[in-house]
Amino acid sequence: MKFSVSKEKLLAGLQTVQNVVSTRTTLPILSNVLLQATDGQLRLTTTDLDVGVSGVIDAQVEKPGATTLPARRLANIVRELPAAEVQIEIDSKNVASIRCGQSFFKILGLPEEEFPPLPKFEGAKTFTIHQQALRDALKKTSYAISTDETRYVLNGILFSFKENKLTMVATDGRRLALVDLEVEFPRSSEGEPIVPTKCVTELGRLLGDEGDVRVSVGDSQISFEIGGTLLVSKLIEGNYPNYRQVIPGEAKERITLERETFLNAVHRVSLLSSEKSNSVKLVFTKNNIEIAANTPDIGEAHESLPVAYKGREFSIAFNPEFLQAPLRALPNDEIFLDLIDEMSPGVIKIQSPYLYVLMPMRIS
Amino acid sequence: MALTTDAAFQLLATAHAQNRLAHAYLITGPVGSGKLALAARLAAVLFGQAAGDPLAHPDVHRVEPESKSRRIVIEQIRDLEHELHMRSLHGGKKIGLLLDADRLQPQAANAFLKTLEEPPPGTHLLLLSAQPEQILETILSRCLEVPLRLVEKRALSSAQLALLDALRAHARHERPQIPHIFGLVRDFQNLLAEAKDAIRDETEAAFKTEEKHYKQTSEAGHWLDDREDYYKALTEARYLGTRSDLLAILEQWWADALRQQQGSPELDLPECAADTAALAARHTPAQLLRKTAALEQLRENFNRTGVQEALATECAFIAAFSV
Repeated sequence: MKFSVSKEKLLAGLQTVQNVVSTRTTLPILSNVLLQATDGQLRLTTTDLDVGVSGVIDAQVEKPGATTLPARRLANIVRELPAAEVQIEIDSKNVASIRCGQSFFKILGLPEEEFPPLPKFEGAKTFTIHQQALRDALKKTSYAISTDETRYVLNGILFSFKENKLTMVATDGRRLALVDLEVEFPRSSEGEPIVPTKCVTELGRLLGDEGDVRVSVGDSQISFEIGGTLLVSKLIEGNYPNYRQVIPGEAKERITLERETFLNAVHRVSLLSSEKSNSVKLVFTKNNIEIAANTPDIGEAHESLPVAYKGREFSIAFNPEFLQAPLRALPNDEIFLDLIDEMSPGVIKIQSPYLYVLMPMRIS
Repeated sequence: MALTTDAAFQLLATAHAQNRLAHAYLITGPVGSGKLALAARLAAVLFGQAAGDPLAHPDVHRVEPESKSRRIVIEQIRDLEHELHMRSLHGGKKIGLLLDADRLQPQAANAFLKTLEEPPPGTHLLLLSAQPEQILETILSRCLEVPLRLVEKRALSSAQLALLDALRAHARHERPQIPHIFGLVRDFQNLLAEAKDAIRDETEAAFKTEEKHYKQTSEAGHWLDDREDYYKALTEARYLGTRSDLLAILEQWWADALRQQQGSPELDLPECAADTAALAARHTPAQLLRKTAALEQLRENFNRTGVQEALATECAFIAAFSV
């Protein structure tokens, strides 16, 4: 196998796939990147058996073939190469000779047969979504994914394809983020796969602003095709809990807030929320919210925020981190905070189909 | 009642056909009773696979003792649970296979309870053990036991045959003196040392092959470190197995003498019937019982940590082979 390729393209290609390679692999071959050279193309593939990424770059292929090389080692070499054109030749023993300007490198690899193939999709349902819309939806939900390893079904985002809508949900049991996207598909394609966190992270990295992403959902895998790049992941086993149940009904009070002002105020006050209770209190009075926190023996903080509020006076407490997370992720200038009473969950909404349910904390 | 692998397989296959296969089975039975073979046949049925090794299927997630102390540790259980909570590669069934389940570390066993009681959909857990009495009650109560029995006796290893020769030679001394006994101890210890060297050479060679193949060609340094530990543990575990097999010969030797005395027709070592008959004639039942007790004590000592192997052997041999 012999090909030459521009340094920038090769480096970009390697960086696209390299993230999947973990430093603690369960099989040595998983630390390598699969290189397949065919007509004018070089395909780069990595996998950790749960998630796999494969990308294509243009190359002048003199002799087609395939091999695997240590991913990080190769990327480190390519990053430091001087000139624009890199020539790589691989012999029958999987020894790679890399030539670039005056530099020469020789590294050893493993045969391509050892590399586990990415799964094939049979009878998969396919969907087309705009890249930016999906990236935006991921940003609005992914922070609420549970990291509790004992609750596996929550270690990912639910992709619920139903009634010409893609509803994406993430929750850790104390808060829940949900986004609706309009997607066209036949009724027979409905389904509710749960996409694991690692795939969500990779997907967020790969998605751009322009063009569509083609999503294929199989019985046990999901794939995302973005341009020439393919991301394949196993799905999480099990059924997602009934999230509709935790979304509160009619709100009693709706408070319109300036997102950034509110975020900054909560952030400042949370500096003095105690590690033990870890809460900030919102006290609603006429046309005013007082945000307060205190830690016994250390001190207290409070800040007033003028708002248009004419409802009854009451107070409610939230975990400051959980309150700030959606405020950081949302792009909108204005958000709505829907409340019922002290003990009912609060809901953050925006103009577009999004909601964030947050359990209140007990006020002592 | 203990079953043959065929009978056990029939039961499991029927259960599968009627869609009432349990989610967790504990397959028990002595070494060589076909526990792994039964697991493989069950896997073939679950995957509908006719050819190849069904246990090499990518949806079989295997765990076996790995640490230096030859235990299944909590990280292995966590990894297994992670794998089982992902959909299977081909959308079908998944198998969690635990070899030597009696070697589960208590923390690992406790971490496993929830999954064992209610595994993810489409998952079957197969726990294999030759010593189920050492498994925690909480694990046992969550599995259906499939007890297997030995169908054929295993052929004796060359070390075991050599030990029998030494025993025969020793039995010619009507009144064995201390030097004779120490001669036998030395024979026993030489056999152990030879076995240890052979096992170490074999596992070291296996590790060298892997290291040579992967060291330069991938970036799996951690993996190689783990493999080195794995092979060290494997060496130790295989040595302990060989030692236990040799000790079994000594036990069977005196047990046969006792059986001959009582006129029992079934012998563990029929090829030594004449020798054990002569011993039976020379000893009283009480003497023979003391000898078997001494060997039992030796086995117990071997199972403890911090016991000097040589010292324990000498003490036991003096009790077992003097008059």
